[in-house]
Parts: sequence; structure tokens; C-alpha cells
Amino acid sequence: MLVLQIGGIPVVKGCALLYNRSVRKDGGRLHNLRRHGVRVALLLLALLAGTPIFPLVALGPQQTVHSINPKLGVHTRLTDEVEPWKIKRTLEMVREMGASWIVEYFPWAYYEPAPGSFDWTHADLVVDHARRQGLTVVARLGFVPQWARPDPAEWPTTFTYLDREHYAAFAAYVAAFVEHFRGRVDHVIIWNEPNLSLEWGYRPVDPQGYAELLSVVYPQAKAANPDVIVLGGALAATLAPVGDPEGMNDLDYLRRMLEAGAGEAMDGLAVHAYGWDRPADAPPDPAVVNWRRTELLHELLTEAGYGHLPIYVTEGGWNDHPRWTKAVSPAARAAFTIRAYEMALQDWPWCRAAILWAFRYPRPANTYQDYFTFVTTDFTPKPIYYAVQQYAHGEEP
Amino acid sequence: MSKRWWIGLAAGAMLLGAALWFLLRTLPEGVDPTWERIVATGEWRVCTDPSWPPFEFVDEETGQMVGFDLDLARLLTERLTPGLRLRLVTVGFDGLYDALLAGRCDAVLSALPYEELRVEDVSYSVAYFNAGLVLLTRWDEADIGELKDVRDRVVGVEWGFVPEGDPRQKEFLRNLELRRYDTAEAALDALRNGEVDAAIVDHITALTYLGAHDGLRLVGEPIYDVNYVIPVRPESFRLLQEINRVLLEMRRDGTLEMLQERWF
Repeated sequence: MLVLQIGGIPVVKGCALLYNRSVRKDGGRLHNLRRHGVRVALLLLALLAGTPIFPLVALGPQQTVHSINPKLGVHTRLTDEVEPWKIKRTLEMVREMGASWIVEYFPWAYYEPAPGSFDWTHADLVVDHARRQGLTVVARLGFVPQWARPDPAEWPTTFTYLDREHYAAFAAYVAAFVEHFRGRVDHVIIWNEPNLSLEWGYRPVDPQGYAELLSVVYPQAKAANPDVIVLGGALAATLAPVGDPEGMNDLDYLRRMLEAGAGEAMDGLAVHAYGWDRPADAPPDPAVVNWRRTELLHELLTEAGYGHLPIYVTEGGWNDHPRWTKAVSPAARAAFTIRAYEMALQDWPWCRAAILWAFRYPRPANTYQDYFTFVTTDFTPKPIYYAVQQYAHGEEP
Repeated sequence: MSKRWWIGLAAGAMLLGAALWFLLRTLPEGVDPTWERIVATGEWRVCTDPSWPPFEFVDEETGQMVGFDLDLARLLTERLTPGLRLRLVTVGFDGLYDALLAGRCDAVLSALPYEELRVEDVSYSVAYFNAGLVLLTRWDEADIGELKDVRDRVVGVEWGFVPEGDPRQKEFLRNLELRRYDTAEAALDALRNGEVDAAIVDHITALTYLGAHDGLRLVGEPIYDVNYVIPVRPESFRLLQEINRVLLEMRRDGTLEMLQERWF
């Protein structure tokens, strides 16, 4: 039984006392009506207390991003963020920083726990809040559910394992996603870093297999939402030598996936552009991982006859961990980051968005990864947040 | 209550105490499997990531791992138990804790700061170095003897230094007029050049700079602690006890101070 209390005094009991006093004073039918009225009122109060008639975290009024750079974006990490107010606050802070784009991860296993059974509750929450803040959402799709993988008792696999027999099942998920979010999410990334073995189910990487996956997914996605922009690639920038079991050089991988026909099954290339310890202006070099390696990927697209495909940087940036060997100082990180955003705007007409890793983590990683973020887990902006905000608002540093 | 009742209570308590004492004396001691193995094999394994001079790095001329922590590891080896050998295990910085928990080593000595969030996973030794924030000024600034003396004065810091992103550390920055530089070294250069009245930088940068430049001095103790410690697995209680014993000895006999002088 629900007993409401105010200041430790049960409200029901208090009302009954008042009622008894009123009966003693007046008596009669009128008081019976009052008695029932009080009961009904209490019942309504109890119902309202148990079930709020409005969401606890309202979407709020429609907002607009104010930024001198419409390509500026950040990768959010809201997949595992449970509390709605944290989702909303994160996206408000993204908008307030001056970012127009976000990439967010929508794991297949979360939203289709059984074949053909979809639950978009959490995804809707994230997308609706993002749109209310005026943000454009790019959805990264992946994470294979157990039902689409071999029986773990016979063959243990990870969530990055997808065999050819289940390409159609993944394509059906992508189609369901783009159909559900039509008009709300019109950019999807198919898979993540397939040139790394760990992202390809700990198997040898397979550019042809990935091109085949794209060719299965693409027509279904387009049929479900003809306006959707399907992004392929999202390759990890790596200098892995030929035959490395851990992965394949991203330039080689892109060349081979294009030869296998991937260019016909995507509307753009997703790129991961990490600067490591080099400035944003460091020249592109196939033997170096840096921000401008993106230009080499664009050149490869052009050479293969796909120069018309735009590039979306969907991960990237710098790290300012004091110990990590590929990190830079906080001041250098801020300077390189702003220069990178500016380069994407001014010098890369083929680049539609520069979305850097990562805005905020739902919990600290307690590793160097924490030093990629713009905001701490408890929503404290780091100095780089203010630096990017100043830039985005066109203010002098 | 009656006197007899009090006597009975006291007798009962004494009896209980005696029983507990007897029990503790007769129960077998807890076993630390790490220490047992160290004693049995005569070797302990220490993980380190040699990428953080002057604490641990590879000497380009000799190709050997050297540094404050490596010297400390060797001195610990000499004092932990007679005849003990040291085996260094090199692990990347982000793999140090995993390597410890996976049993690839018995302890980590790699300039690791104490981390409150990890105390369920590992046990930490007492601190052997404080890498926290320190206040510096010029030798001729006689009126700066503690942090409160730099209130309303110009203080050089590194742009984006830790307290600016950590509300818990922001408190002591109140009433300081901060001037930000790209690096901590640049803030110290500015102090030497008279651009600022004082500087707040991490202790490692400060000691390294003081070793190469004159005209500056440290003011008091670190104003914010970042203690370097040695983590072990939680079951390695005896090993931890021995490490703490030796570290406390080293504090008392000046060994830790000697290491600091050697490497800075």
C-alpha cells in the first residue's frame, strides 16, 4: 500500500483526522460526499506520485548550434549512459561548445535482442535529445548479437564476429534502423575498423569480405530510406606491415576494398584521423600516422574513380596524457585540434564533417583514453572544451 | 549493579581475551602465495614501462634500462630478503596493471601514482616520491615563503594543467593571477625572466629544471600530492609488508633522498 508522507507524517492518516473532526462538527450527507471526495483526491494524488504524467527529463525547446565551423563535431559515448539527464546534459554541452555533428554507437545486440524483435527506447532517447539540441547524428552500427553468432559452446566468438551467413541479418538490422530513424538519423557507418583483426572477430582481416558486407547492406538500407547516407570504411589508421596478424595498413585495405567493389556500395568514406604526437599541419606520408593521412585516403578514392565520394572524419584528434608515448601537451592538443577543424573547413572541400574522439565517457577508463575527452565524466569542461568553444564562437583566444 | 556482577564480567572478559590470544597463537599464519614463490625461487619480477625519464628509460648508449625506479628496484631487491634476484618485465604503460593482475609480475615500479579507484584490485605500498604540484620562485623573492604569499600576484602555469580540469584541485588556485604558458618549462623560463612572480608546476619538471638552471628555488612542500607508489596483488600481503618495511627504512636513512639527488 502506498502511504504518502509529508515531513514524516502520513498524509492519509492526517486527512482522516481532519475528516473526523469535520463530521463531529457538521454531520450529515454532505460529509459523506466530502469523505468520498477526500478519498478520490487521495487516490489521484497517490497515482500522480507513482506515475509522473510528464517525462522527468523533458526534451526542452528546440535549440540551434552557433558555430563558425559547420563541420565541427565530436564522438559521444551515450550507448552505455543510462540516466536521461546525463544524456541531455552531454548533448547540451556538445551544442554549447559549438559542435554540430555527433557520432554515436547503436549496437545491434542492444536493439535487436532476438531476431526481428526491436526495442528502440534508448536509441530514441539519445536521438531525440540530440536533434532537440540541433545536432546531426551519424550512427555507427555494429556489435553482433549472440543469436547471429555460432553456438559459444562449440565456437566462442566476440561481438565483432559476423560470418557471411549472417550478413543478411545485419543488413535487416540496418534497414530497420534507417527506417525507424528516417528523417532523424540519415547517416550510418557500416562496421568499425574492419582492417583490425580484433574488430573482425579475431580473424584475418578481409577487404573483400567487408566489400561484400557493404554490397549486402547498401541496397537494403537504401530501400528502407532512400535519403540515408551509407558510410563505409571507418578504417583504423595503422602502419601494420604486410602479413601482420593484427591488421592491415589502412591505405592497402582501402585500395583492396575498392577493387572488390566497395565504392559502389557506399555514399561516403568514414575516416579515423588521429594525429598522435604530430601537429595537424604535418605533411601526409604513407609511412606516418597523422591528421593529414586523410588526404592520402582521399587521393586513393580519386585514383580508383571515386573522388566524388565525400569523406567524413568520424573519429580522430589528439591525446594529452602525461605518460602515453603518442600524447602531446594540453596546449598542443588544443592548438592542433582547432587547426584540424579549421583545415577541414577551409582546405578539404571533400570533407563533410570532422568529428573527433571523444566528448565524454560515462565512466572513467582509468587509462590514457581518459585524456582524449573534452569533458570529464562529472561534466567538468577541460581547458580544450573552452578553447574549441572560443574558436567555434569566433572569439579571440 | 552488584560488585559480584562486575567481578564476573571482568573475569569473563579476561577469559575471552585469553581464549582469543590462544587461538591467534595456534592458528596457522596466512599464506601469501607471491611471497612463498619469491622465497622459493629467489627471484621477484617487477613490471615497468621504460618510457618516462628520469624514472625509467632506455639509455641510448648502453641499451640498458635505467632511472630512479630501476635503482629503487635494485635497492629493494638487496634489502627484501638475502640473495634475492630481480627480473624486470617490460610492459606498455596501459598494460601495467593488467600484467600485475595476470601474474606476469609481482609488483609494478613505474612511477605509478596512487589511484583511489583501483584499491579494490590492488594494494599499494607507502609513497616513495611525491610528483605533485610545487610552487617555485626566484632566489631574490624573499617575501614568498608559502602559497598564501602569492595571492594577487602573477603566477605562471602550464596551459591546461591538471587543476584547471579538476574541481577538487581548483580551490588553491583562488586569488592567484594565473598566466598560462604552453609548457611547464616555459612557465619556469618566464619566472627566471621576471615575467611572473612565481610558478606552479609538477615536481618532476621543477626538479629537472632546477638541475639545469639556477636562480630559482622551491617554496615549501608540494601544494598538491601525487604520490608514486608500488602496487601488488591484494593477496601479496607479506610482499607488501616487506616492501613497506624497506621503503620506510629508505625514508629514514636518506636512500630515497639520495636517489632523488642522483636523478634530478
